[in-house]
Amino acid sequence: MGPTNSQQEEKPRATGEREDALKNFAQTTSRLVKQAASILEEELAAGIGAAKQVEEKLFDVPKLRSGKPEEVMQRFRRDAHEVVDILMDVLQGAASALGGMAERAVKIRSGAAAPSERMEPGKTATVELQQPVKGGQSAEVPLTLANDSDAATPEFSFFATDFVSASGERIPAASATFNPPSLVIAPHAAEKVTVTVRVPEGTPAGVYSGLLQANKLGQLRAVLILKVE
Amino acid sequence: MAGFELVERYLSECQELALAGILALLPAGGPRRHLYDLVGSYPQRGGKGLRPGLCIGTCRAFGGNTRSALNSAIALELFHNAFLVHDDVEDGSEYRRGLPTLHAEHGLAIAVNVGDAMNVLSIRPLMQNLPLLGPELTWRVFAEIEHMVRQSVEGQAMELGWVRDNQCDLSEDDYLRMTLKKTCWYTCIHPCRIGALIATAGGCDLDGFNRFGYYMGAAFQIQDDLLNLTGDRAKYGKEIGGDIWEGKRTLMLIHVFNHASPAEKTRLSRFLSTPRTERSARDVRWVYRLMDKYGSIEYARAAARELAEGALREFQWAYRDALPGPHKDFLESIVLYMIQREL
Repeated sequence: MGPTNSQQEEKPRATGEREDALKNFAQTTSRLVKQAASILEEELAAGIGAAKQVEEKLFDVPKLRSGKPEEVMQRFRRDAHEVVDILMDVLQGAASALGGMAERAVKIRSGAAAPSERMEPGKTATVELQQPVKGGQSAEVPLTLANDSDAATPEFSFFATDFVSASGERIPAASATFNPPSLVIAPHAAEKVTVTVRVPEGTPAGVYSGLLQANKLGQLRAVLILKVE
Repeated sequence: MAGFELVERYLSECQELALAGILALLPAGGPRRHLYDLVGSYPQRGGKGLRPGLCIGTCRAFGGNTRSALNSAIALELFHNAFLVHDDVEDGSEYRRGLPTLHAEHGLAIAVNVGDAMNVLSIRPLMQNLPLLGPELTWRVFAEIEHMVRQSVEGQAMELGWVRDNQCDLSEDDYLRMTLKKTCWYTCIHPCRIGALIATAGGCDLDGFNRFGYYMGAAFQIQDDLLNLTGDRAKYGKEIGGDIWEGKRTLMLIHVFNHASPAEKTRLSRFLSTPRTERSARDVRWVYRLMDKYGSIEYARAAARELAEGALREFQWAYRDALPGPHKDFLESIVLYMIQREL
């Protein structure tokens, strides 16, 4: 039988006593592993409490969970780990925010000068010419493109669809040209692009609309509306 | 190391990938001499590549590819090196990976700022995940990293507080909790979780990696502390016995405290309350003898072995859905490598 604790404290142990202690290592370290498991569970539980507090401050949990009930049930309840529930709520909210950030990176503003109105994120901008145009004439539309992100845009250019009237008449897409033809916008900078639409002779009167779309920036698009007399 | 060629080759490959990624992050402009040239200093000294290895290896084992995990692996390695720079300042360490520590060579102020820069630069590869992984996975990786970094600084605060307050009445429980927070989350648990998260788009049980990573990380930390006491400096790259000079509360020191006589405890407490610069080599040798007398080093070796065995058991569960092959083999082999390594 090994020495008691008090004996160990009172005098240095001899070699034999040390060997006894070494024989007990397996038992001691098994306890160590169990201790480790218990500590991990405690820390995870503490983490769940903290995550809940954060979540309640930042997210409307019932609203988030009501979005896709089947997916939520499948993903959230499968392993009964409450922490996963919380993380997923946080992440879903954050993912929406990230997606929004990417979409909002470059905005179109109508007009050459400082715009009076910004386009709402997620909605396609509408640019309407105030003055009517006659067949054989051209109309110019200045646009301001603002890059609100921390990174420069890739080099991109615009293209247009045909302009269509309510009665189905068309102005060909090739009638629209862009100056400059391509551009890069630095972070937190704005650039101007002028759209010129040459209305062919004999174009029937009416209100025509067409889509202007940037390549490489899928979210950058605007509907251009012009009135032909 | 004999028998661990696969592990060392795998780690080396992942470390090189992470290092190339880190160097590519460095801005072309200045300041160079007092900042960006130094950011690459620790990573280029040849770390083990443990964190990139676990992240990339786990991703591959669950069917993912290297490219999708690489940004996260780069961030993990850079965060790790930032921790090391600041850790060396906090501990007053003199050597890191065989060379003088950054603060020893360039001064405290420069070293702290370089560590800050490394932390900041770590964020960029995580942002670069967005086009590769999409917003939801990118954010989930961010959430893993946020937890990882917070746990690490909390664990570091625990350990620094023990030294500052000269706390001597510590238990194994205290040590295991501190190690979980300071080492295990960022060295093992989160690299594995992130690798699996990316490979499966969140479709696997990430909590299965918690115990595996914890036991393996704790075994790794104990082995690291053992090498600090008994290792070959040429291989280990740090001053041998540095932890005793620093008064670091290792499992061995805690064991000694819990077995020493009252007189020995009093002397040990006095030694630990003495500023590092005033501690004597004679006293450090005496602490070594005390550890030998109470079998503290053997005890810690056995503890590391038990934890590694626990990790191997947990491996079977955590990686039950992983594809058989070299990546899974590497991950299983790395557990024993952790406690048999010499550097």
